Amino acid sequence: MAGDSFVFAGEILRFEGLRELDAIVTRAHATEPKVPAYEGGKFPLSTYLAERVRRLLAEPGSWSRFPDQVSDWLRFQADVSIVPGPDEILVETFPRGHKHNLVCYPFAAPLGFVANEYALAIWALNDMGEMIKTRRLDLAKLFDEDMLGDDLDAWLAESSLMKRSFGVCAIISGLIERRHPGQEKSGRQMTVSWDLIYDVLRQHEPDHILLRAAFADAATGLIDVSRLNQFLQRICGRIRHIALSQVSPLAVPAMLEIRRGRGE
Amino acid sequence: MLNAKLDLMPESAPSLRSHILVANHEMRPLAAGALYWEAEDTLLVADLHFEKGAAFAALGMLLPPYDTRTTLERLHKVISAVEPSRIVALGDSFHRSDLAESLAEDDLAMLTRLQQGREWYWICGNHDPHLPACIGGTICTTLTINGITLRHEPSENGSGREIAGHLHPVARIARRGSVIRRRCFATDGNRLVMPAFGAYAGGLNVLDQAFGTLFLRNRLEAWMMGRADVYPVLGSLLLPD
Repeated sequence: MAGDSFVFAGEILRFEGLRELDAIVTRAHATEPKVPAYEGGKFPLSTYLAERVRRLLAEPGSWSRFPDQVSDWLRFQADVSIVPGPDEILVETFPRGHKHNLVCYPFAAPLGFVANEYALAIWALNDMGEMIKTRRLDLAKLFDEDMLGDDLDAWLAESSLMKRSFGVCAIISGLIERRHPGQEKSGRQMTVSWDLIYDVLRQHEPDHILLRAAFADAATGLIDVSRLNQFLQRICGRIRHIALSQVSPLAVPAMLEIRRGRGE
Repeated sequence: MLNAKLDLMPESAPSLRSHILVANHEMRPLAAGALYWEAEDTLLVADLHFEKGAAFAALGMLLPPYDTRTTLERLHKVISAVEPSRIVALGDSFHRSDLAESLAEDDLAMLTRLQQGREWYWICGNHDPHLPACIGGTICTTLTINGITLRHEPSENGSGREIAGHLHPVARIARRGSVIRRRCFATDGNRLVMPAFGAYAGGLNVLDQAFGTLFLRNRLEAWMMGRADVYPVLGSLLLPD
């Protein structure tokens, strides 16, 4: 968050804010600087490894092979909710604070937009557990593979994911210069923000090579559409919804990620 | 989930206040970035920055050359919605004065059509201090209508009671766990600074030093532009960049 101090490359820096792809920092003195964790250090699961993990989790007998903390955590999860079977997708709903949460556990290889690799959480103001029970929220429709197609394209085109992807392509192609710390003196007149360029280009030359490159990057680099497809096919008809009155052990990492990401 | 609207400013939620009070005159901000002064049947826009793409191309940065056309189309849409009898462009209408003479034929024709049957005023800006006659309309440095002065750069002295452009205000707020950053109309009820209308015109956070002491802090409001509506936000809720 802006104002936080952290240690980086042997220096203590204060995070001032983000400007497009750059983090702006100043040198600072702080008694308790934080240690930043790099997201790229997370271990991405391949499809096969994810499959093995799912099978291991589905057999309570094999939990003793895990370290104590993990097997305790799984046993606690089985008490409070369930540990999903290998071909099931578990969806849990629970209230927390003034919000209701829905967490699902695909346990698949990286699909995109997951809070972390194994759970996807959303929060809403309405009680989603109730909505699922009374059929106002249809989970099968939510996970319908048909939506991969026009809906996904339309969403992607508008998303900040896509704009960022375009920004990278624009810089690589030389369309936009990366701003260096000294250059800012020349004033805002010398730069055009890439999301403005993206909007104009999309309207007038939707087939432009930079847009195609940006889309290809976004569609495979950050979301893997074919994997998403496989996943949706696998879970068709196998969604298990458990309504809980509080957060489950399995949901804790996802909830922590949300808190961290939103700076609540 | 993939269908969820990403714009957290809902299209259909009406804001309780639809008019900005500038020195006791009611003005209606439009989501496209224009201000409509109903009592005077006057539409105000600022910082059109026509031909900014062309100016950059001349310097070697080959941006998609559609910004003038896009800005003209957006202008056409907002003019058609309101059909004002008078339009005032508050400066920096052209990214460079001389580029006004090299407008593409189609663009000039579109501009001429927009001007037909109405009064059109070009206020000079720092980017376009001298404008050629070929763009039509009336060229001036300031314009005062019913006690409110329209100018390009906001003035630090004087009583306020003005509407200006130049600063391209943008506001940033945190809402329901997300941060939203949008162009806005910035005002304290006395002076108003318009958002930049141009397709390639950037933005500057309204809390930035450049805004200095233009607004009475405790009365600052940022009217933020959503997709279809404009939302008043109290100054105390605003975040710096």
